[in-house]
Amino acid sequence: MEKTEYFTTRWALLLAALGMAIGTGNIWRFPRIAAQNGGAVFLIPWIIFLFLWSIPLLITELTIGKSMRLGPVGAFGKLIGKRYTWMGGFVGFCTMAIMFYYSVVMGWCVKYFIASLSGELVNISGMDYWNYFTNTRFQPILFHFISITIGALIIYRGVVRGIEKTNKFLIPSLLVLIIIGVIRALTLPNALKGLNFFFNPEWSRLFDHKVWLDALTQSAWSTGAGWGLLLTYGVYLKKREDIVLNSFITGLGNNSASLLVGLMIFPAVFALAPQLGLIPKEVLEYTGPANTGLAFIWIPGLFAKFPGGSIFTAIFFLALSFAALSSLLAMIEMVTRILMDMGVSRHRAIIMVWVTAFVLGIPSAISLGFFGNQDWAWGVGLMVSGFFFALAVIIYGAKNFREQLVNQIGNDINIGKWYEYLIKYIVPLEFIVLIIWWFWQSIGWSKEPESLPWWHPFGAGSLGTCIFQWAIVIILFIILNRTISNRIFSIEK
Amino acid sequence: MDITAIIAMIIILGLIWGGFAFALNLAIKKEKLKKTNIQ
Repeated sequence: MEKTEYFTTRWALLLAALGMAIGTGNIWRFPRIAAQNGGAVFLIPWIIFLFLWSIPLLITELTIGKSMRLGPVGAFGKLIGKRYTWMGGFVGFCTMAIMFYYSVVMGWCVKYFIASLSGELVNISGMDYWNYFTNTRFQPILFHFISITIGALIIYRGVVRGIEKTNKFLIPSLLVLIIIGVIRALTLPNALKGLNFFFNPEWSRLFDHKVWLDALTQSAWSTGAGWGLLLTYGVYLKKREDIVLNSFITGLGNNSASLLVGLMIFPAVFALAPQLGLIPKEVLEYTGPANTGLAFIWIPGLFAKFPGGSIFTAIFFLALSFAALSSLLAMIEMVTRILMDMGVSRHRAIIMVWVTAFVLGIPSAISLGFFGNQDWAWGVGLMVSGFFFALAVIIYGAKNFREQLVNQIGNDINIGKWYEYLIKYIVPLEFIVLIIWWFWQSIGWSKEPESLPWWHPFGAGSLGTCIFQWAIVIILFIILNRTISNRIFSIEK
Repeated sequence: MDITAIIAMIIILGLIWGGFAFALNLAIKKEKLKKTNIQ
């Protein structure tokens, strides 16, 4: 077996964990979801779920990774028994499926960064440029290839020389780029109107169930809780490294970044949209094809409206590219780790991940319908992954898990009994309420433009497609459970 | 800006940024302490 590398310092781990958490969702999804859900009123459940869903799951992931020293698939089997290895298989597959189209998203960001530098985005409407770019087909594939290749090359260099060094550059740079954006946005005329919209609570929306459910999903997706990524980084944690405080810093740091981005996007849109004859609120809420609305359709046109706008556009897309890359690295590392646990050498595993991710990302690169379907099925699948983590702790015994695995020597702070209550009752309750609401909502309302029924397994945005794809993966891993677990544990011995 | 928005901004940014700064500061102190103990 290859020698395991470890993060050299706590700060290296934290930068990698923040890189994993802070992704494109902070920059283009958060402002849209906040605008659609009543501004500051949305931030109330969003903060509550940070503490009731995301941080307990981040603590769980980091603990499992550090204690089991295996990727998600093997870790589930080692923690609660070989017969549950399939649960880790689902978690790993879910994140891997996201990785396939996430590389495509990073490709869009890189393309737009280059386009904003070369002046291609000037004098063309956002929608026209987007249609031109996606209709070429070749370009999205090329930039997807570039993105996955950059990610694979960094991971090829290992944990210390690859992940650590890259995040040491990416995260501070990302922070600087966003701060430049915030300063520029806040100094535009009418910027305060944007802040007013962002922080003015629409109290009538406080008990709207959609606001609470959007807040939970945003918190889960944005912090990376339940993805199995922090679990993977936990494998490379030194024995006497802290778990609890590091998890809090990751969760709070991610939300801090989202708020910082809000301070850039809301003032900028409110200052610039009226110059194009647009209504700021509608611009912020516009979803667009494959949720691209704000970032790829409006930002280029909006930022072009003030002096030095193309530089600001380039800064925005460079920040998006950096955020995407730091998250993509964690996904590539997770899949690589799973293969390494099954006896594949690190370098061979990375080549396998690189080729597979490129090939299986192509359908998302050439078809926004397929992209939307995958985003829908596996994005929601993360809720199931988060629930599996809570279930694993319940099966192991929440008290034993907290006392034996979480509260170890090296922790800066230990957690109290509140963790047991959260992971045993609150997290499963949140999952059940969300799933029931989602089933009820999907049966009554279909995202299908052609009005395919909710149960249709091949509908792009139907409930049926999620259940169909999840069922295939779960059945496959249950069938292969014995083979996979035998392989992992014979190698581990 | 409305007074409600200003108050909400102070509370929300204070809670999240303040929480992040507090946690980070605690980690810095603990790391210093660990280094001192090793020496």
